[in-house]
Amino acid sequence: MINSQKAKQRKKPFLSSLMQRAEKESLGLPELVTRAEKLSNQMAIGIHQKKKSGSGEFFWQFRQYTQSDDQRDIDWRRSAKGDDLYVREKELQTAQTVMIWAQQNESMDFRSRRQYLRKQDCAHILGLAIAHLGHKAGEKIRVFGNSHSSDRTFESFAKSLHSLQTDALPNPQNDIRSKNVTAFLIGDFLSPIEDIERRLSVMQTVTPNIVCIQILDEAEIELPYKGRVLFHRGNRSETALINDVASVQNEYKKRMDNHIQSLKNSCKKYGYEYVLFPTNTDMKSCLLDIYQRLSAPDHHKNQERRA
Amino acid sequence: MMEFLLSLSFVNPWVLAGLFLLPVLWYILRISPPSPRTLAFPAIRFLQGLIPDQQSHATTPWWILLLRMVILSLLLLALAGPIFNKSDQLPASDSIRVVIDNDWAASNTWSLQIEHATNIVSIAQREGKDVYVTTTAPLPGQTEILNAGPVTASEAKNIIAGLQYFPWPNDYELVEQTLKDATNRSQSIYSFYLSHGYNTDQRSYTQTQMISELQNAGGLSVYKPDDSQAGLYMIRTDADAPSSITRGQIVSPKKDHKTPLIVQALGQNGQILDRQSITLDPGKTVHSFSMDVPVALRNTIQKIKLTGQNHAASVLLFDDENKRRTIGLLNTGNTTEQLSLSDPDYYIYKALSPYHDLVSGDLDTVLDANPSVIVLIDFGLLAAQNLDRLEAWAKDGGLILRFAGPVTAASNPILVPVPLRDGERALDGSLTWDKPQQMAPFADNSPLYGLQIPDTITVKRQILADSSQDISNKIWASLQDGTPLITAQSIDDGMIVFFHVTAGPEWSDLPLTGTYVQILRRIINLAGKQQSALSSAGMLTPLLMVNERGDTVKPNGYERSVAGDQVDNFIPSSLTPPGLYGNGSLQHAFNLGDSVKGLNPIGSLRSSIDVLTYDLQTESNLRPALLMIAFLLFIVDWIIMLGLHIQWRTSSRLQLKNALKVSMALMFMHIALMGSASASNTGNWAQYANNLHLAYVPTGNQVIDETTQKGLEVLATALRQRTSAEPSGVVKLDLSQDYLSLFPFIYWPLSDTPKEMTLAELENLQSYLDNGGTILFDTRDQISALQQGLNSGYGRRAEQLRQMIGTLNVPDLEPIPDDHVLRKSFYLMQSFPGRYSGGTLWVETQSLSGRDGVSSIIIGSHDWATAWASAKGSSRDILVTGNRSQELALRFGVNIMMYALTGNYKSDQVHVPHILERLGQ
Repeated sequence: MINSQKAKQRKKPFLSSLMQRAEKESLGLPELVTRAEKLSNQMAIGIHQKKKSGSGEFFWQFRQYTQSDDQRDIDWRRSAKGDDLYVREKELQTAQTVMIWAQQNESMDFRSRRQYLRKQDCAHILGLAIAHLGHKAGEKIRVFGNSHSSDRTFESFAKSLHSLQTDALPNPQNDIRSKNVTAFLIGDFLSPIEDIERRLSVMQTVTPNIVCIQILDEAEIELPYKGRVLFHRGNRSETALINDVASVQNEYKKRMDNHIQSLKNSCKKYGYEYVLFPTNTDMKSCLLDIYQRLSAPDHHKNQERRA
Repeated sequence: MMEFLLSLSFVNPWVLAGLFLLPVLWYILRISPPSPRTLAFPAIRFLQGLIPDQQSHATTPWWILLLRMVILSLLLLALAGPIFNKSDQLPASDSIRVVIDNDWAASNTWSLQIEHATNIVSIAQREGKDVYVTTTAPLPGQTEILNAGPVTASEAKNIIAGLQYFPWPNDYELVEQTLKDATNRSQSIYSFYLSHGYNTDQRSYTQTQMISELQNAGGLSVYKPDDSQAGLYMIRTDADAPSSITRGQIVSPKKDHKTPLIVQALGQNGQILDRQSITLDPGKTVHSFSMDVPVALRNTIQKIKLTGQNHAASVLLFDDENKRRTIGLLNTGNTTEQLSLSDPDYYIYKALSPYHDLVSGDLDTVLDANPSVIVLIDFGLLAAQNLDRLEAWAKDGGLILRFAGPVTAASNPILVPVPLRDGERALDGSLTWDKPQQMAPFADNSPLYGLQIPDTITVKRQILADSSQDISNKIWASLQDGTPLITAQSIDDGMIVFFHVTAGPEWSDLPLTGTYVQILRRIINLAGKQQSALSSAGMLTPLLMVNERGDTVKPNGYERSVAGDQVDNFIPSSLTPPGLYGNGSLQHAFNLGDSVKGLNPIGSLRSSIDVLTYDLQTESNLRPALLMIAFLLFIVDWIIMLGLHIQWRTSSRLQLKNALKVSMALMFMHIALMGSASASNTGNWAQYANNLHLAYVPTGNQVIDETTQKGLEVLATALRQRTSAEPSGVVKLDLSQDYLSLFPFIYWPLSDTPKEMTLAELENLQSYLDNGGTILFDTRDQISALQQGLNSGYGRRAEQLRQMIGTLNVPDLEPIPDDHVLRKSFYLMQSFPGRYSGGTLWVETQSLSGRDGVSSIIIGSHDWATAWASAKGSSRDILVTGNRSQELALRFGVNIMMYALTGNYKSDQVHVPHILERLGQ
């Protein structure tokens, strides 16, 4: 058992290579800027400009000096033009928190062809790419499900994302609950739809801004096998013997489509974004997709209405 | 197919009943499917409860079933012990006897005989019978035949495997005698006589008696080869010209022949001197042939071989007697055309001309022909001058053969072996009472010992020797009263032989007999031999043997010597195999063919004898083959099952694509290689690879190219004369086509028109430079560099060169250092003038060790080729350099060539002291 665990560990790509890959994937994209409407009054500086004065980098307005102002804030150049004293105010900027959950269990350790990425690696790369974009934009990043991580730097974030073993679904227990959080849930979501729905509804208490990214292998969608096959889970806990796989392909695809559809519906129900990412497709286009959905106008409206 | 099945039989036929179980196996295999592929699949939840449409794929594929059925059937067949061509049972008898013909004539049928003998013994082994093994030819060096038994069949197999055939005839009488002595009459022995189909016993005794003896012992089967298997031909000397090298006879067993035979005359080392295809005369069994060998080669013939036949009678060996010598017949100018019966020359000519070449004339003519023997017939005193020359010639190894006559009797000649009495002795005249004398038998110390003397020879007159001295050891032949007839004496390396009678029949009957010819031939064969070797002519020891394959081999040790008087009625035997026998004075080739009267097939046999021919059907056990096939099929089945069980993670389509790609690539490579090979001139390459060639790159300017060609030719001449490098030519290179690696050094002059280089040419050049080649670039523009002023230092073609080699991967260059090897690789040189002097020579900065310190590129501007070409005498062997500068240019050429060829050899520390010494430092 220990040996097999070790073997699994060894099979995992090195963290550094995953990070490199993630940076490569996110390169050239517009910085992933999560929506600014959902801001709280948190004082942390982000680049979500709040259209009101506060602490920030950019000039917002001059206003007359009052007693409560610090004398150091007086803009002497402006004040010298007239008799009054003016204070230079800057526009308030706040930071979002990007929360990433990447499923990491034996269900993710799968690829149907050698040239495909494993689902696990896809999830990590995607998570790291999103985090990287957010980090570049000045957002806070943290790993969902790991309350102890400080995640000051991208590297420490990546390390904790990479090392965190998870269940099949996210489990929000002692995570921070804030509207200021955008959570990305990356996994294969192959659990029964009832379980998924239950968890998603619990997730709502954490944040309303959730993006579900379902990572599936081509084989899991298409079932491209033939002949007599004994299927089993990675740990061989569950088996299924199909005598003629080709003949059940259509039935299987129907079932899988139903599952995906109902997952989509639940996301819609809770106002989450849903993205399907088959591992044989281009990851960059997936990132673009996520970006566009987050900046789409109807999404804005949707979110604003909720606010 | 039916024949195959009919000739198939089984040891354990009951095992075949197991074949009926095959359908049961089919059923069992069919309902138990192979285990499925197993696949890890995370989305397994969605597969639960899915029911496939059909179940048929779960069963074993039919072709695997078939394969396994075949494997099982083969196993069952193998267990049943199939035997192909199972031989019949032996006739009823207590034991069996295998009689094998193993004399020289067995060579063609030997393998058949042994095969059948083994076969018969195998059956005997199965039936548990004892075996006797008998051969018909005596064992080497013995007068016994092999007669082994009774032994067990397996022992008999060993004996048979060790049998061989011998180069002498059978001795059927001996076989019969041995059988009579050894056989126990109380038990019946059935015999199998594996004959070669001929009766080769040359004595009156025939094999029929042996055959009847065998039959009486308990029954007999005689195996004979059929016509296509025998094909025995032999060769022997022509009875009409028994000693002619170039004539012979071929003896065939039958009168109808189709295939022409080929006769080869072989020299001392086996080289073929002549080859003749002989179409056999369909009406005869004896066919004469004669070979057309040039006289000069005739004496080098060692043997004549009948090709396609490998037995002792397929070869004719030749001895000294067969050598054709030149014999000078000294006379006063008579020509042979005028010879008459009364002329003594006529008898000499008649006796010797079939065997030797005769030259007649005066002493000058005779000596010019370089004879082995000079015959003087009844010469008295010779002129003193001629006498001296003749004596000198004889002392130098010649043989003088003198005949007596009236003139000799009248004079007292010099150059005779024994002092002679004046006058002749008449034995048959009206005034004498002596009867004509007969010849006494030759003494055994005479070289003529062994020759038969007919009673009819009488001597009527002779010249007597002066018996005051002891001449007994000089007498080779004498009359019955002891007076010498032939005397001889050696003088230094030569010999004088004197006949005390005339060459013609005036004084004796000797010239009218065949003995005369034999005596003359023996004497002539002694020419060139030492007197000491003449002492014993008694026994002829074996010198060179003919073995059973018809090859000549050294004696094995068991061969006995042949007595000198047995030469004429020699029969090859196990004691005296055919071959070349001899002693110092006499050599004789005993050829087997000469003693064989003819190839007589075995006569008609009694009807009670079972006569069989060798048919090629032999019993063979098929079990190992069947087991082997079953095993291979099992491996195939195993591989298939392995393939079915393996989880093919990668798609088979992808693999197929890769395999296609690889095979396409291989195909294209092959085609490309074929194309390049066919497009190029491989013949020249071999030539270039075998010899050192100087090479240059043409500029396209004809004048420059011609100059370069000529210059390099001069340089090649200089190299040949002065160094051990011997260039055999100058090659104009095609950079894109030629294998540059064949040329250690390339001279590359530049012209004003830049050379456009293709990619292929550049690659070719680069690989040449990378792998140890050396190129001397000559910009030939030192003069323009001077014109442009001393500052620039570069000629107008420097830029062109820079562009050209800019695309090549070339190490850094530097002006040639003072201690560079190029300055001392052959000549010690301080400067390197060509047509121009001065200027700088550029070489690689620090050559890598892999190149043995040789700079791959040398750049100069001195126009050396023109300087070389101007050196005179290029077309002659002797090279004359006109002046100092030409000489220096050539020296540079020699240096650079030695540099390219020997590398840093001269920079070795070993040579430093010598060089320093020569430099006077």
